[in-house]
Amino acid sequence: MAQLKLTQRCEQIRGLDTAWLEGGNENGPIMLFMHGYPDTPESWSSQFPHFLEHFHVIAPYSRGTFPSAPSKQVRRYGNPSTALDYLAILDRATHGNRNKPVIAVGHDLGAVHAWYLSNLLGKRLKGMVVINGLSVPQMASRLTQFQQQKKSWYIYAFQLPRLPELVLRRFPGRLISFAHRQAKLRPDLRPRIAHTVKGLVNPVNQYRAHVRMLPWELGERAPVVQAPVMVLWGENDPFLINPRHDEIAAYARNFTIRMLPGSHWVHREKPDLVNQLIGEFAQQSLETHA
Amino acid sequence: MNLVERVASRVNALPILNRISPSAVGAHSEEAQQGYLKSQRLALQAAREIKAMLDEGWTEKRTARLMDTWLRDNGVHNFFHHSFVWFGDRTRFVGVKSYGDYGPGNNVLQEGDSVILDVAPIVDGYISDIGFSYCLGTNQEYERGRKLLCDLRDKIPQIVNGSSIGREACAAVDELIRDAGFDNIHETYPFKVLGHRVHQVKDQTAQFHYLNFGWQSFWAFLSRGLFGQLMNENHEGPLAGLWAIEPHIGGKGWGAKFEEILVVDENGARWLEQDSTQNSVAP
Repeated sequence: MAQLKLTQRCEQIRGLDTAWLEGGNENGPIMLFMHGYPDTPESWSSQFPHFLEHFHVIAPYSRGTFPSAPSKQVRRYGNPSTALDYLAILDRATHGNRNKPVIAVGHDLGAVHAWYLSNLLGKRLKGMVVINGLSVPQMASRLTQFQQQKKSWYIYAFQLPRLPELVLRRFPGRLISFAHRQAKLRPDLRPRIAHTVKGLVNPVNQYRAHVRMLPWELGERAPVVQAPVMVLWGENDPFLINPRHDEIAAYARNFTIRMLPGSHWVHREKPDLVNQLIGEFAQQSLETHA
Repeated sequence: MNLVERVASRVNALPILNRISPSAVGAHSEEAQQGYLKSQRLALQAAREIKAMLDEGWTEKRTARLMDTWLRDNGVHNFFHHSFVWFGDRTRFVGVKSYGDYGPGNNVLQEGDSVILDVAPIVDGYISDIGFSYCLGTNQEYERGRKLLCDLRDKIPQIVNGSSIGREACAAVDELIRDAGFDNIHETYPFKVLGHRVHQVKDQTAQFHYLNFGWQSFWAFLSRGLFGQLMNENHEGPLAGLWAIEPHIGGKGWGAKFEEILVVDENGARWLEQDSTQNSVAP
């Protein structure tokens, strides 16, 4: 029976409160939505109603995004801890049923998490949708590209100790509005909850963790994702240059790249188109890899 | 070299070494044993949690990193050694030619592969060292090997009780493995160890590791004369104390081991973990 409303759950995972939204058809395949920064699962609010009827929808709050508790240790915001959190959430949401197929959907930093998680879900992963986001090794391969470095100035700024937190606490609304204006995201499409200070300050540590863990991440040589991957990309992204075919080919066996008219938050700007593409991709992936 | 090692295995009795690091030989207090047990249980819990998540497509490196992460998230700051993870025929060290090759690699887990998880965290200053084996899928010969590991766990306390020196215990374990038709893989470990002593150390914040081993492991062994800390075919010193015992067997294309702490004191030898649902051979 589909539960057409999402409920918020919060449980202790390895000592920290970890929250997620959950709802939809509990007997259906899982659609795991992973948000980016400075967002919360609310950024998927235009997608949820479309998928609740047929999918068991799960949308975690990333580490430090209220009400997922912050940690004093930066490494707790990194990919390994986040992957353990998300695997634990999947286990709790499905009562330990590891046979349920999963479609992973990630945007921005959520795409970083999705790429990392894709190698850990085994045959459960039937497909992955990546929206304007890259894995850590893919992003690292752009270190030599001046255009990307210019767009990534904020990643470097976030590496400074304390200063980003001070500025974000002092001017939370203005900074988020600045980011949304950069992306030309219409005010009525901007996610509401991102304006809260709690959702804004702590997840900055995710950028620090990814940079600090870069040597390990590059040394791991992630295997190629076997499940189909669809990259949806708003072509006017002020934070990321457009993806190249070879960038994705190095990490995915079977993939498509769809360039869409839009910006960084293309899933909010063109929800009907994005929902249709995700829906068709999910259906095809589930049928082909049943 | 054997003669040198035999003499060296008595070096830890030199008074000068006792002034550098307290001897690990002899009885441990009840409080200390509880400390070691807490450390061992946490390590085994980490292995079981990771085992429950393991799936096709995981690499040895990523599995090792996730197991270390799980332990760090649960309060571990330092490691005697970080996680070693081996999949498939690497569980019997196929392709391992140097010390560097023992570390986790980019091998990808596939259906039917055997898996070994081996980690040694330091919890509140107490070192534990565990080994846990598993097979993704079914393999009848592997199942027979697992039964042998369970037998070995039952018999090792009696073997140690009947041995006055480590050399005799090693020979008896080796005989059991070969009689059952399997290969003795721990014979290929550095110094061919069946086990090593575990120690209490300061839970330092400084972290440095080489070949996956934390600096405290080098200090704990070397400052006590090394050879007396290792149970191998050349061990001649006293057996009293705490030992991480790690019999490792191999068959065609697979290996399996267990590792946990054995207490040897005036009451004889017994496993530190008495709860049969929590030991290293429990599923």
